[in-house]
Amino acid sequence: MSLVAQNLRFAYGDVPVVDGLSLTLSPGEIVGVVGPNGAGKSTLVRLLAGGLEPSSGVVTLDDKNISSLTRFHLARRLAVVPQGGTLPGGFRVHEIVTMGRTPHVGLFSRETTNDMDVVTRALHRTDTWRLRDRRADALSGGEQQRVVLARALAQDPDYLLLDEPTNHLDLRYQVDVLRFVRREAARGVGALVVLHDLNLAARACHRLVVLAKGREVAHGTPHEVLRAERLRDVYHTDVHVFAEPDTDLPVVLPKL
Amino acid sequence: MSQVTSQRWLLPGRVRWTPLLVSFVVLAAVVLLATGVGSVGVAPAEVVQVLWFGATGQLGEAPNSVAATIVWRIRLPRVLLAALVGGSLALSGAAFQGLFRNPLADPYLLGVASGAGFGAALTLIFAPTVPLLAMLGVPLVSFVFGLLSVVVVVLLARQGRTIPMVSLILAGVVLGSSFSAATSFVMLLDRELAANVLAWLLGSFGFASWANIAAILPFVLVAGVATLAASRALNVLQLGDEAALHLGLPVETVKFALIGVATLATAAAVSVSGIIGFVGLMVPHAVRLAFGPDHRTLVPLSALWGALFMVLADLLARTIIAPAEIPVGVITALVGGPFFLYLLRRERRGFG
Repeated sequence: MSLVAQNLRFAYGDVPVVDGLSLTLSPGEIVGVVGPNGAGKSTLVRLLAGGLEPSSGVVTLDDKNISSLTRFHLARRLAVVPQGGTLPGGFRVHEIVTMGRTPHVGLFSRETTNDMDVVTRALHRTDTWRLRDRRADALSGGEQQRVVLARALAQDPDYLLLDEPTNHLDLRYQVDVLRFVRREAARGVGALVVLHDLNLAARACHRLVVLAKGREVAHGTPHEVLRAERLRDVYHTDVHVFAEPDTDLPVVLPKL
Repeated sequence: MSQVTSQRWLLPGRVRWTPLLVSFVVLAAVVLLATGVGSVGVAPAEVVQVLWFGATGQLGEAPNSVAATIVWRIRLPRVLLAALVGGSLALSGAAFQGLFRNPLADPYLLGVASGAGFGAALTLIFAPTVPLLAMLGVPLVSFVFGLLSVVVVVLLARQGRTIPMVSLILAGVVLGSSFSAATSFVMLLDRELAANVLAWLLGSFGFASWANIAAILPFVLVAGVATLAASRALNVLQLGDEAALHLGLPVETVKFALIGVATLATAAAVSVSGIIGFVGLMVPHAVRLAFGPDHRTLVPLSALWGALFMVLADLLARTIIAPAEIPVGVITALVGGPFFLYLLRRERRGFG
C-alpha cells in the first residue's frame, strides 16, 4: 500500500528536469519536497499524478503501474492540488467542490445522495460549508484555496499531492492549509507537499526530500535534512540553523 | 454522519428545468406566430391546422389551400430553418466559449465563416463559367470550405497530441483574414455578381426549403447531443486544463471532439444562411449572465434562446420594409450590439 516512484526521469527537450528520482509515499505520512526554483518539484508532482509521462522509470500505486490505470481510476485514488490559479467565474462553492466527484460519477450520470454526502463532509472538513452558496471567484485567496482543498477531498483520495499550497497566502491560511494536511494524514491519507518555506516544512512534514537540478540531494527527517551547510550549497545562500527551544525542530534563518 | 445526511439537501440541484421548459414553450408559440405573419396573414390556429395537413401529406384537403401552400412550402421551412440555424450557432458558441474559457469566443473563431464565405463567393462568381461549381451549389461548396479552413487551422496549431489554445486562436485569425481577402478579391472580378455575394455574406433565410432543413438537421442533431453529453466535461474544463486532467478528464479528446461537432454544426448552419453574426457570441453570454455558468443548463438553454432570437430577427428582417427584406445579419448586429452592451454594463454592476 503505497505510491512509489522508481528512478523517474523527465526532460523538456534536451534539458533534464527530473533526473533519476525515487520516492515512496505511504498512507498516513507527510513527505515534504523542498528545493530551489527549477529543481523539478512541480514536474515531480505531475509525474506522480500521471499528468506527465516519464521518459524512463515508473510510478506505481499499490504495485500497479499508474499508466495502466484509467484516468478516472487514478483520480479516485489520488488528488492533486495544483499550484496557484484562480477559480472559474460564476460557479458557487458547492458546485466547484461537487466537480471533485467527477472521477466517481463519470461524465454522463448524475451524483447520487452518497456523492452529495461526501461533498457535504468535504465542505465541513475545510470549513467552507458556510461559504457553499457564495460565488467561488469572489472569495479571498485563502478561502479559494480551502475550496480547492475541499474539491480534492471530494475525490475521496488515498493520496494527496499539493504543489506549493501555501503560495500567496497570509500566515493564518498557510498554517490552516498545513493543519488540514496533518488532519487528513491522521485519517490515513498519504500526503506529498511541495513547499518553499523550510520552517513550515519542518513542522508539517514527517520526512523531507531536498531536490536540486532534478536530483535528490538529501532525504530524511527535518532534523537530518535541514543542515546549514547543505542548504548553503543547495540555495547558494548563507543560513543559520538552530533548534526551536520547545520542540527542538530546526529553524532556518537566511543571512542578508 | 446524520448531520451530513440531513444537510446535503441544502446543496441545490443541478439542471434548471423551469427556464428550459418555459423557453421551449415560448419558442413553440413564437414559431407558430411567426409562421402566420407575412403578406398573407394566417391565424395561429390555422397554422396548426396546416401543420397537421402538411405533416400527414394531405395539403390539398386544407380549407384555404392558398394559405396552406404558403405556410407549408414557404413560411414554415423558413421559420424552422431560422430556428435551427440560430440554435446551432448559439449551441456552438456555448461550446466554444466553454472550451476556450473565454466569453468572447464565438463559433466563427476558427475560420468557419470566412472559409464558407470564400466558398460561397467562389461559387456565386464562377458558377456561370464553371459548370462543376454550379452543379455543387453554394451550400455544399461553402460547407466544404468552412470545414476545410478549421481543419487547416487545427493542423497548423496542434503540437503532437495537444492543441495549445493560443496558437489555435492565432491560426484561426490569420487564416480567417486570408480567406476574407481572397473573398474580396473574387468579388472584384465581377461587380454585378458581387452584389449576390454580399447579400449572401450578410445572411438571409430567403432560400429556405425543406431540403435545406433536411440537409443540416443531422449535423445540428449530432452537435446538440454531443455538446449536451459533454456539458459536465465542459464544467470541469472551466477549472483549467491541469485541474481537469487531475480529475480524470481526457482533456484533449474532449477538446478535439467538441471543436469537431461545433464546427460541423456551424458550417452546416452557415452553408444555408450565410454569415449571421452576434448570435453565437451573444446568446450563450446572455444565458450565462441570467442563469450562471453550469453547462448542463447553459448548453440547452443557449440552443433554445438562439432559435428564439433568430426566428424573431428573421421576422423583423422580412416584415419591417416588406415586401423588401433586410439581411437578417444586419438585424442581429443592430439588435445584438446594444443588447450586448447592456449586458456588459449589467455584469459590471455585479449580478446574482
